[in-house]
Amino acid sequence: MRVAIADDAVLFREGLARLLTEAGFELVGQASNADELLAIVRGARSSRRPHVAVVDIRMPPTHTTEGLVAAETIRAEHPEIGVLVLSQYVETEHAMDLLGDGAGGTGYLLKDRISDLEGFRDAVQRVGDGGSAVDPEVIAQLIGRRREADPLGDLTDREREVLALMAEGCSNRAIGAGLFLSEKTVEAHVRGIFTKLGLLPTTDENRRVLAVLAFLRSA
Amino acid sequence: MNRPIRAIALAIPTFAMLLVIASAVLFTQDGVFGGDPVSNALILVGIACYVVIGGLIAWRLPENACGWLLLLVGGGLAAAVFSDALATYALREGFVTLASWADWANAALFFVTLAGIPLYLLVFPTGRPPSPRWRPVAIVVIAIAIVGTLVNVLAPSGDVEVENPIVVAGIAPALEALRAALTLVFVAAAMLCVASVVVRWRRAATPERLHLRWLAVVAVLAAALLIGSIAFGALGLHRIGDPLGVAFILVLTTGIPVSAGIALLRHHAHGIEVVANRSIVYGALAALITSTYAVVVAGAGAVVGRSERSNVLLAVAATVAAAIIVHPARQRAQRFADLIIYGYRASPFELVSTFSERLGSASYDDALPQMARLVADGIGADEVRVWLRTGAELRAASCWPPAAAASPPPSKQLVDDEPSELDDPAFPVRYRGMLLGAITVKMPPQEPMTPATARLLEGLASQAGFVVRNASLVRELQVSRERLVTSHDEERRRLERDLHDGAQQRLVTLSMDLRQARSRAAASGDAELSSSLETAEGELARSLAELRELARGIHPAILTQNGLGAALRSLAERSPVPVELRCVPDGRFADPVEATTYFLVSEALANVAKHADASHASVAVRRGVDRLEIEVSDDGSGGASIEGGTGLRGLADRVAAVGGRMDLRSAPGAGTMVLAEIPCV
Repeated sequence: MRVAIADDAVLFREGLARLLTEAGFELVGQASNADELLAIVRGARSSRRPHVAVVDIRMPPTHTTEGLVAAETIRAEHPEIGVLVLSQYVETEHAMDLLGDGAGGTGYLLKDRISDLEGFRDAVQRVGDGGSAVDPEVIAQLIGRRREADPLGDLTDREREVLALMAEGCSNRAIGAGLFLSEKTVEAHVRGIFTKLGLLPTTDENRRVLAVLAFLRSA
Repeated sequence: MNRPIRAIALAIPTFAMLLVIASAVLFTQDGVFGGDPVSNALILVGIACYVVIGGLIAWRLPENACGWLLLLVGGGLAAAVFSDALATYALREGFVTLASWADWANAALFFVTLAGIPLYLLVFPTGRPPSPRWRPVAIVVIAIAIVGTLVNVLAPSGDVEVENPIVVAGIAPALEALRAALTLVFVAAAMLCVASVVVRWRRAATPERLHLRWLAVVAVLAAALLIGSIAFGALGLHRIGDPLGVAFILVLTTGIPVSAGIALLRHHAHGIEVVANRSIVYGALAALITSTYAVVVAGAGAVVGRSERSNVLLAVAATVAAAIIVHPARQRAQRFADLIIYGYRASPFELVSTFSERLGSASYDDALPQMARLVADGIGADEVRVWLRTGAELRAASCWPPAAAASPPPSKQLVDDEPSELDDPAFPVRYRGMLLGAITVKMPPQEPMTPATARLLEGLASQAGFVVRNASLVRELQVSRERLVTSHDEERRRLERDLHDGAQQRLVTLSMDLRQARSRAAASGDAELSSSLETAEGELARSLAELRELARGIHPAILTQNGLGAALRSLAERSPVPVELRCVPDGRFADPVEATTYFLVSEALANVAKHADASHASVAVRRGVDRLEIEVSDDGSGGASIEGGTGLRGLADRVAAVGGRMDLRSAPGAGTMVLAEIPCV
């Protein structure tokens, strides 16, 4: 799988490049800002075009949300290219912005996650394959948010675990692998969760991420 | 002032009043006077007005001919009326000689008295004709008065019952012809005198116009009454027409001297204008209340019918209606009266007292606009600017009307510490001798500034010194506080960015390196090294998390990235106490506004979590016309105070520094509510 990366911090970028190469990705470009990244994406022949771009959210010139804007642009111009945005902080707002209409191919992770080699590799892979990746902290914050009435009160502990992984963007198989459950059992849990939360059932993994996040956010 | 002149000014009205009283007594005798008693009384009242007011003017302003002319007309009329009454009375009682002399005196007074009125119109209000070119008209009128008097003195009496005691019979036909010619010339001259009033009005500057306005009021009123009287009379409605005719005579006889009195004496006797002002206000109010009462009782009575019960109800309704309109009506009447009496919107005293009163209570940022407005409204200026001194120049700080405010505000260099370079008349504002600013005034072209207005403005400007000093001090303070807050915010933002680009970035890279080192250690089979590296990794992850929270607290990136709404939602999601976000504004605001609002809500929510023992908090931030309204409330134990050491003091200061204000409601047991307003555009 081909990967391009964009970050203005050279040390970090070099580390990230090494890490991705070691994890078996093919690095096709390094950029220190959004424009360079777009040049890489636009300029390459389709055989050299990245499957996924790993982008820092804060880059020159304004150091605010250049990464998010670049992600939007890439998704619009090349819907087949996934974009994984990295940030020092995670904000639900940004996660929702990235998920967009739930078409998939986007991810939003805390920078710290790169030290979890396997998890990070999975996330890059998933986004490159058109799936979604949402940082566990976003989910934890939404689930753990203090409310008058807990909207997840009816869920069993197991269902909560499934819900969290589902919201991070994991597939049923990945959830099963993580929780040592069969895929069939995970499917049953997912159906149960949707029924209890009053959500319309969907088998699309990207759409269900969006549905769960939207539910957690508004509840 | 000249004693004998004053004595004359007092003697004439006194003597004339005696004649008036004597005439009144004679009028009560049968057959002395043919007219109706109301007209008789009105004529006497009119004469009294002429002589009393004429006397007052002559006494206060002996150099002004107006007073003397009024005395001439009033005294002449008094003598004429008395001599006529005396002649009639003497004739009835058989004293033919007395009657003849009285009739002679009456005829002798005719032209002199009559000439007084056009002369008065010619010289009002200055005591001189509008220009030297009008002097011949005055001379002609005076000449007619003299010659006419001589003719009447020598000509035969027109009456068959009495005879002129000193008649020169031989020249009677010549005198008769002369008198006819004189009358014609007199009418022409009188019309010229009326025209002179119009000419004077067109040439006049403000104060003179204000005087003439009085005459105009009388003329218009008299004309209206005369037309009304004639019209109603023609329609056969004598019940309405006749009283209008009486009113016409009243206005004409009393109006001229009363208007002269108000116009000429108001600068010399302050009491008069106050009395006149109050009379207008209360007269108008009385008329209004009476008519309201009449309309309600008559109008509604016609609809609902009359009974004892409904009468009571109607009376109550009328009283309520009158009570409701009395206050607004009084204000209107007062404005009307001010307009009539002063010709502009406020009297000098009102202006001075409102000035100090308003400026005393105005907030500091409002004091200068208020000042400009009060001055502009008070003297009827086209444009008023308040300038503040900054170093060696004056800078326009406020302007009325606001539309005239130039952007950028004009500034002028000071010359020798004086505001002499300004285009409009400038009134320096000083405090303890130091020039702090100036007030400039642009008057309408047709109403140039009078010396009286200039004096008034000098007074106001000197009164303004303290306020202007305070305003400039407060402005400096406000600007420096804003600067402090802005630079404080800048500093925090820079700090967060330094952390983000420096320590956080390095530590994340370090965690990556540690992880790789651990992989190698594991691969080389060094379990001990691998395990201690794992411990270090865990420690590093916790440090990173702490650093992240610290950086977020210093300045949340999302505030800069996505604005207030997103930052507040993020804040609410993280709060350990359930927070209901009732309202957050869309769009972006100036950095200090966003930062102040964010930190206010953040600190208030932190207080809720730490001190309030609350189960629920709610946040609402609404966009008003020109401000953000912020409300953070909880259902906790209450009892918080701004000085209670919970960071609220700092918040209040911060809010005040960006020009807002903060309020705390926290009764024990009733929860806490933090309210704030922050100006924004």
